Amino acid sequence: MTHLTDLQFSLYADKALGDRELNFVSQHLESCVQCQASRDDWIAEKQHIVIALNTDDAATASIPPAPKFTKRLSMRDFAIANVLTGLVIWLAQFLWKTLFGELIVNTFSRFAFPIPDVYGLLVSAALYLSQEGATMIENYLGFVVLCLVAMSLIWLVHLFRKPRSTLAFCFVVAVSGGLFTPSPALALEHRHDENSVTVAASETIDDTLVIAADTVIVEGTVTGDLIAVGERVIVNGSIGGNLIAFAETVTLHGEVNGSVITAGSSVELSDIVIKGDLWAAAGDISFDRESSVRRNMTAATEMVSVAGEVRGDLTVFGETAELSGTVGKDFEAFSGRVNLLGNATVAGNLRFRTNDEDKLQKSSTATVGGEIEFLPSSSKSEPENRYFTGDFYLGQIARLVSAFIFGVALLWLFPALRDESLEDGIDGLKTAGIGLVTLVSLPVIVLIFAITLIGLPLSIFGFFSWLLLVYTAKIVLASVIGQQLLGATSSHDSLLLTILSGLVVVIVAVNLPFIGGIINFILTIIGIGLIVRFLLDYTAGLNGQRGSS
Amino acid sequence: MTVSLAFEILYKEYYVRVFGLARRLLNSTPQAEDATQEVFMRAYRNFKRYDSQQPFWQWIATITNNHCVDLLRKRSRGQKLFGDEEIELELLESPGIHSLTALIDAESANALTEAITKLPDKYRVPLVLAYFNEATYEQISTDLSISRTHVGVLLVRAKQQLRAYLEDSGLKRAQS
Repeated sequence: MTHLTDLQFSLYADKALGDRELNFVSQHLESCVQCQASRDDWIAEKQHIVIALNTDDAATASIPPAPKFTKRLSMRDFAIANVLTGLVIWLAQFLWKTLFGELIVNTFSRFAFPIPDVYGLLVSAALYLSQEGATMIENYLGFVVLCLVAMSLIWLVHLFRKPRSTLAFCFVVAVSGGLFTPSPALALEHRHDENSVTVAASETIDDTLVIAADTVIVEGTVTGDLIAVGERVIVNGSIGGNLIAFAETVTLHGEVNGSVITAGSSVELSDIVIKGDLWAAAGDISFDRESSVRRNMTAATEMVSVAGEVRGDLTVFGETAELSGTVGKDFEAFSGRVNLLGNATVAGNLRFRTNDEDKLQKSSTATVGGEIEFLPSSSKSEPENRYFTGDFYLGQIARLVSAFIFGVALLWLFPALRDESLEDGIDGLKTAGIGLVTLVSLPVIVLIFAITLIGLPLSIFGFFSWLLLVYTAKIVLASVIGQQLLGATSSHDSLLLTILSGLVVVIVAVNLPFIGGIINFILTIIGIGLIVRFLLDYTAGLNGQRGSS
Repeated sequence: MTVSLAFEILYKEYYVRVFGLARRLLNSTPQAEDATQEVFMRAYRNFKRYDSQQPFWQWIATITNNHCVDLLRKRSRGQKLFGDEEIELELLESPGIHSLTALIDAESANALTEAITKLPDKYRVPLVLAYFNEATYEQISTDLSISRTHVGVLLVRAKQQLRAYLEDSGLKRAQS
């Protein structure tokens, strides 16, 4: 007769036998006295082991003081700290400058609100940034560097404790490398003045030059780039790099080795040689016969007059384009009218996007080397169904990708948002109500704040918060929808999938024909409601914690 | 009450049990002290993952098991901590020794406690999990990433080893 094995006895004593095996063992035990005795031994043996293990002297061990229970500073906390610090620094400087530096002083001195024109604002912004911006950015960068140093020290300690911590090692090496690598020399000179800045003809600037002033006059030589912002910019000198000029009136002469980007009410280019491209946007642009662009010229304007030489392509967007000079390659016009005057020459093709060929006026002496093509203007064509255009789908994919990236970052920074949910229809209605009230009331509050001078910065902050809220709303709701779709009670383990699936549903829903707009609105107010609820719960939690402690 | 304050209360309540389990698993008091501190820190950091429907002891015991097994794996320096199932199964075929009960009757009960500490990690860990932590074979096989049969074999081998130790110590005493 074959007796039971040790393994069978042990499993039997531990009640770990499967049903079939248990039947077999039980039947055998009924008929085998020897195995019955062994079974009793195995069961007793188990009891002895249990007793031996549980009579451990650990019960009498003294309990050491509890360690300080703190959570590790995660990369998320670090990112939040950085963002908040940046905001605080920015806000503090902004308030200081706006409240005490500009607004109050200006108001009390003038007792009136000046309505600055766009160029005035531009100059003020440029001045403000050139005066305060560098310090502000330096402060912030200094703080970030300090944080990185502190982090690397902590990780260094961690490294010594756990020598195999490869990540810590890499981080410390990277930070050390970054800190000890000599920073490149700052090749930037900036000048600013509320009235005028002049670079004299005898002067040579070997760096990139940034100028912000009411009137900017550059007569000398700049070997780097020149960036000029003001109400009036006049450049007569020589620019080694690129020239960027924004002003109400821009007048350019001389020589530019790089490209020119300029915008203003009026841009005048006379006797200038531009070795790169010319990009100009203005109310009217004139390009005289002594001027030359070695590469391409692109102009967006009501009226452009090109009398000089463009060696590359000429592209014009606007109402009227007049050409009396020469174009080395093609001339393409997206304009209401094209006039080829005098001895105008286009070596390549002339493409004119118009529905009326009479809008092209060509003098008998003007020549076009290639073909003259009239292409239908898209603005006059029948409106196309957006669902049949590739741009629509590309746009939606871009929207999905950006919302996805933003959503992942948001829910990573604020993981508690993932716990938001809608219990039922009533809950959804309540949330939508909260969202609607917020959506409407916040701009009103912002407007009320904006009336008072002191509240102006707050109102700007509030306005941007409102915009952010509206953008974030559908992303947060998408996370909730994603959780419902995937049947997950918590999205901790499938954050990416949850957001992606939710966003796909939301984007499809808001693009449905006829009802997409309504759905968009409903989803937005529900999303806003969810965020407001989260903020209220969070604040209440903080207060509760504070109260109980 | 703050979370850290609440956790200090849990620490005081469960320290002895966690320490006992860690000490049994690691077979070293200083290492068990360190491990216990680490287990409570891990529990605190991951407290939001704790399902309040589950007994706290079960949750923290799992953390303890995982942490201690990780430490043991590091200690084994890349070798299979729980051996090979086939080889262990073959070892079971070795001739039986006297039953543990008879041996314990002859020896003091403390000898068994001492014998447990002498068991290799691969036998001691499943033994502690099964008879101290009262884990099922399924739980042990999941925690240790080995098959259920392997768990059963290791437990039988643990018991056989205990008998061998006790018999050996009995003989030595008789000779002296």
